[in-house]
Amino acid sequence: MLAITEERPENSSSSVTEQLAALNTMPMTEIWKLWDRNFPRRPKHTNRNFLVSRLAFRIQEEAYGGLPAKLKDYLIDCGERHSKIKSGRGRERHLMPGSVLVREFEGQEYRVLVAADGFYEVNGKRFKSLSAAAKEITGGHRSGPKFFGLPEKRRE
Amino acid sequence: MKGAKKKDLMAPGLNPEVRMKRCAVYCRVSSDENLDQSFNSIDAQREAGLSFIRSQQAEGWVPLDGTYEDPGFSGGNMERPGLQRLFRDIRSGVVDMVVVYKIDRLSRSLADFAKMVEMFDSCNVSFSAVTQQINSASSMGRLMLNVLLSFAQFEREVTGERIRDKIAAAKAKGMWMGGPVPHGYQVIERKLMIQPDEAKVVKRIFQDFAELRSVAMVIEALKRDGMNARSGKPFAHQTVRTLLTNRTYIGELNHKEKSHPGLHDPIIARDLFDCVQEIFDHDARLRGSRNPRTAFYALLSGLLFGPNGVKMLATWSRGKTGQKFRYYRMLGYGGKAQPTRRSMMFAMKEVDRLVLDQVYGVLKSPTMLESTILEVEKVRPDISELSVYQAMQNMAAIWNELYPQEQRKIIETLIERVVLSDQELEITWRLVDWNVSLDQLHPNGIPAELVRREAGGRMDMIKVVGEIQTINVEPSAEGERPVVKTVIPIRHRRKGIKNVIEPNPALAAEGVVPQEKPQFQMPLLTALSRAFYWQWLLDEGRVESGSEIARREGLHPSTVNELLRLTILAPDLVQRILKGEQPEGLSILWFTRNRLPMEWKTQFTAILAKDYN
Repeated sequence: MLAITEERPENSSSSVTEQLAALNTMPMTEIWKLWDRNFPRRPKHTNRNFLVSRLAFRIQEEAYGGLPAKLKDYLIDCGERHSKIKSGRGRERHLMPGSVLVREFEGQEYRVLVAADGFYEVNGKRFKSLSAAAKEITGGHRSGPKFFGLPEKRRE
Repeated sequence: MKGAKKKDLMAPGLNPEVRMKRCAVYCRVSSDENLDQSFNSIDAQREAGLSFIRSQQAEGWVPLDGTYEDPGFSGGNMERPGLQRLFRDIRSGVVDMVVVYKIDRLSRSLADFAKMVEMFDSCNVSFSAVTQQINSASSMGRLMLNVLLSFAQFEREVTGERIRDKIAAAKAKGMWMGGPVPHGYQVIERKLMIQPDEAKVVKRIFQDFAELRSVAMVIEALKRDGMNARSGKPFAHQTVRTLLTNRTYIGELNHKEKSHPGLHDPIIARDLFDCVQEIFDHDARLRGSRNPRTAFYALLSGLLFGPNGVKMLATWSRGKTGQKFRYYRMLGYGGKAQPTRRSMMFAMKEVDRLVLDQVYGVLKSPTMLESTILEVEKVRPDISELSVYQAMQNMAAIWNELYPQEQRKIIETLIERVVLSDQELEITWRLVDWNVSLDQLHPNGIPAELVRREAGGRMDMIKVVGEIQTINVEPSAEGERPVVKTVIPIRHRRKGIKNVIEPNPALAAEGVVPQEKPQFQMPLLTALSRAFYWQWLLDEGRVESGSEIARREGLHPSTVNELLRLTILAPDLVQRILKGEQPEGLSILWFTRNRLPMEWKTQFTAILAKDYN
């Protein structure tokens, strides 16, 4: 999904450009008004650059569309794994896209690639879960995370 | 409590119906010294008691024949033979009344006395003191009793303190105050005197230890020369250990933690004593960890090499529950995510067992057997040839009984080097040293199937595949000697997650070929996902501010702000990065060095149209 293409109508693009340009000169009171309309809470510390950049993103998001919600959630879940702040949001195990799981099974080495959308690719097929990928390799059902030797998810 | 007995009923025969009361006299003196003091003596107590009973004849009091006496026993407890006999008689109902000279004769402990009173009550026995008019039937009497006993207990405690102080003072003056007499001394007229024969042994122990630095070896030497402790048995380790730190030998006296200069003659010169203490202090850590049963050691360290001649080191890591996993790791392959890292770690247990199986085979070989039997015959003629043979057949069991150092010694004697690769394990023997002919070693090689079964379970990481061969390698160059090698074909199974980054675009960049395969940029992906997570935390109000994130992540606030800026990256660019389709060479570095424009279009031109090479 491409949010911006060259074929985008000139007028909408320019109006977005205009809006963005207006942000730079807008007085703080106006900026706050715009902020409150778009975001649930104000940041603790005021930084004009930060507010403007967030607002600019929101304007473009509304005009061109944002990141698919699923993908965004996926990224956030991945982020939690790499963060010391645990919120306990993702129940599932999330591997970074591009991770390769290596497993030897019956003399053959299998490599499972984690795709951008969180799917698992093995033997040129895509699977939604690791267990499904494990089934593809072994022919029988077994726990994917166990099969690939993933560390167990820590309970917070 | 029945039978109030006081002098108020003086008229004999006034009451003809008085019941007979059998009275037992209990006497006690606390220590031997008091025994000959006239007033407090046992005899005086008994006399007083008997005459007291006689004076109460009108009440029907009759003295019992038996004597209940405890000369030289403390009133602080009930461990007194006379008292225990009295209790027995009370329980069997022969006693109606206990007469003592003073209450404190019975007990000086309030708790003990309470117990006695309880027992007397339950057996319908009353008691009376000759010199203290105490009637345990009335409440006033009981109060008096308790008061008296409190003082009695107090007196006892004060006496104890006084004695302790006295001992401390005497010891400070250097006087011997009793206790176990150290080896090398004897007590003559309450003074420590050197016992010349024992003193010689003590001197020797100190000298030996200063030289050998080992208590066990000192004891060994003493045993050899037939020197025994006072008990007639060989010196115990602990005895020698305490002896070596006993300051009595340098003419001091120990009291609690301190030591004072004593009046006795030293056996050991201070120099030697200090030298010994220094050994203990200096070796303390070494000594603690030198337990040969628990010390960490690797059977093959120094003997094991990788396929390219790289040394393999013994290493270990901790599992989730703290268990230790031991490995042999190839030198220089400890770092992260190296493409060559795979197969560079081998489970120590597996490798050791493969090698040990071969070692057992060698030890079982006829030549080895023969020479062992001959050797054993020399050292221990009482062991029969058959039992040696049987023991050698069951090497695995014996092996585990050996100390690690001994195992290591055997391995070093037998094996020159072991080369380990993904496909095979190759043992080079030091066979020339003991002249074993090759066909004795493994007549036909051990069948692979057999070894595989012995090597055991499903979880084995290393499997034997194919036949084990023992070969004779003729010298390839001048000056080399022929060697015997055992080659075991193996397969090394691996399992686990590896964040393998596909070989990075170096090649593609050189060939100026557009990348066909996705090139995932892990650091960038991680940064991106963290940024999104942080922004989510902020949006949800889970955290107050970027500075809170920085604090909790242990990062600098500016790092957090920098990364947070990634959330204004155009969704399309985010997706490209997720798919690994970002422009080649784009890394997190670009984002830290360049300010990301707000407008998506500008972002595109800034990022996509850029040549990062």
